Amino acid sequence: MIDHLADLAALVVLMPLAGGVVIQLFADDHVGDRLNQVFALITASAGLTLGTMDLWLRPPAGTGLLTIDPVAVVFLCVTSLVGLASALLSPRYLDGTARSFFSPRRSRRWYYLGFYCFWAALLAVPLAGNLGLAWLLVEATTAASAPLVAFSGKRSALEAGWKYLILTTAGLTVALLGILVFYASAHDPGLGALGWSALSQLARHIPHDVVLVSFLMMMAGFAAKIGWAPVHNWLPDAHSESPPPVSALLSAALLPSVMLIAWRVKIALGPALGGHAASYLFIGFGLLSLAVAVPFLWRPMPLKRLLAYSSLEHMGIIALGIGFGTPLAIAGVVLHVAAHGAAKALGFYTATPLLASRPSAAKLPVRGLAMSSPALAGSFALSLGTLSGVPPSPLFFSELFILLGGFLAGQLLAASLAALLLALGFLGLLHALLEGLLGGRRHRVAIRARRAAGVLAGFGATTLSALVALAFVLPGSFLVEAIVKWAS
Amino acid sequence: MTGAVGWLLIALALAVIVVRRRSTAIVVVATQSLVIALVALAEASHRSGEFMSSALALLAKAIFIAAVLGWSVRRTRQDHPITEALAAPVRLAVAAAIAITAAALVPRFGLPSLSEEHATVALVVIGITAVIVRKATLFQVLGLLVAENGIAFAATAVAGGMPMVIDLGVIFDVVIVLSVATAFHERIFREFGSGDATVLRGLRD
Repeated sequence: MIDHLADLAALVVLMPLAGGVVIQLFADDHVGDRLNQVFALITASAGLTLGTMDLWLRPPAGTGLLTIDPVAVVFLCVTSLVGLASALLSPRYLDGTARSFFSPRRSRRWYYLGFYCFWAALLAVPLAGNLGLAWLLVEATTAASAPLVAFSGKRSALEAGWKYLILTTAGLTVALLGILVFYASAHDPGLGALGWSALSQLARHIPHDVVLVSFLMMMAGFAAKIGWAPVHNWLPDAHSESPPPVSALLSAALLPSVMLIAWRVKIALGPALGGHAASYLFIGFGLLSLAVAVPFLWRPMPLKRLLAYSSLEHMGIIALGIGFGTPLAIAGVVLHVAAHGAAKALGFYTATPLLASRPSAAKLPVRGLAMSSPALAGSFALSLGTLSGVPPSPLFFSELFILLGGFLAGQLLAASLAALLLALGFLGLLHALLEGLLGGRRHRVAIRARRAAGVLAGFGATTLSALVALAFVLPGSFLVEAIVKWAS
Repeated sequence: MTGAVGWLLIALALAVIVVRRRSTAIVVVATQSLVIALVALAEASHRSGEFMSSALALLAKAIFIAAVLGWSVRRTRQDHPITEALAAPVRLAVAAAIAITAAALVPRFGLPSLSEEHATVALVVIGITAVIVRKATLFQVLGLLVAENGIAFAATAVAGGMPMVIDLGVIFDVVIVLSVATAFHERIFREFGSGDATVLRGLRD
């Protein structure tokens, strides 16, 4: 049974690629939408099955190109579910688009091709057993998603897509230089030298200053892709200008998956660096990202842009958890990745019916939703409320775990600063939530949009409730203990 | 020999910082890519078969770069070159200073000669500097290609070579990213009437 895990992993990656190609063969949009549903369901099922089987069978970590360890399972499951939801909601978005980056005749098919290539690369990133392969897959996500960011064809979308493409590619080039510096120093030719366990063994025999320089280059490069401050400039634009289903994938799946690669590098090279250098770097990125994001959460801005700055905040929180590294903090990281994914995706999905009924919401802050549509208001409130961390949001528990984990790690100053910044961020989002629900005048909302919002709110509430329940069992669970063991 | 090649590559990289015309810059970058491919092909005779595959892929990449970018320039003709914010000597001085600093800061990391290591770091840094200081979108793409050429040059010098799957994967990724970037450049030109990246400053908070 364990031997079949590799085959299943290959299916997880190949199925979305196949879907993207097959959809190209059919000019009829309805056929394309149906095929999209089929391939999305198969892909997500394969991803969730792989994750479940891995947790059940607990195979040894892979040593080749593939690794299916417990931490990969978490990110794989989040990516599978968010990808499924994004795929199923894409036809609704596409029906409402008038112009596109691509030619009108083929824009829908180009969208699906880009979407499925992006999703395939995202699913493969957590499974990469090798630093070189991980870099290739992360770069592939850039190439696949940049046209999607600019999909609407508007000037602002072109600007966002261009910034995203150039800045992240430049960053990843620096990361690649870091990988090459390490590889050349290792004097151990072969692909195996870039395997995760091989990296840590080789690092012990490489001069300290070389390990440090290569580590810093890799972290700087991956930071640009994750969107940590101060190399986050592309993030608010790309997430706000993308189609909502793509924004959900960018925020809920791409950023955390690249952070997983950075985490793996930290674990591989951290011991050779000595002390807590690697942890301090993560804590530094975390605090800086929080500090940069919080003031923007107080400013009135369109929903998608607000959600984008919220992503900067939450990637900072996850970085803090990884940097603190205690079992409680890691439990917080696991819960945060899942809950942030759910709440952020819900927020972006809410934007589709919202923008359909109120196009001005693309440029102006949301106002008066409670008067216009209870369903839209509910979906909006659920997302923003969860992201703000108000109890009993699962993010409240994850942030609590991370902060307590920081105190237990002896990082009193960092944890205290983070608590202060989180409190300010909480108040900012709460303010945006209340302004969005109240105030302003009533707008007419189409029945279709209200129904869509109602369904979103229902699914969102169910998912987030399950994650709240998970918060009570996660610390000390076998999953967290397995991840803690891997991280140490 | 490798010292002379390294200096040639650095000179070509600095040329991307100062030249005015896009077509000239494309020739410069394509030449740089070609030089690296030829160095790799020359090395391939006493390396593994995998290295020869990588060397041939580098050659194909150099030809692809010239063809795609040259074709794009023909489709996006500008009446006159875009006026840069910084004068050419200033840009050159900034790029050179950053490259020298970076080369001094990076310790020896195992390439056969110091000149190869300096050339690698310098190319990556000059390429990224070009992305920052040049206003034209096509020059920003060329900056990324210069940076990537630095990586490719180092990969040819690594003892035992880089793993082929990584070499070919990087080349493939670069080709795809270049294609996407070129499509963006043409779309931006069509939308804004110019390939000037400073028109892309509408999104602010």
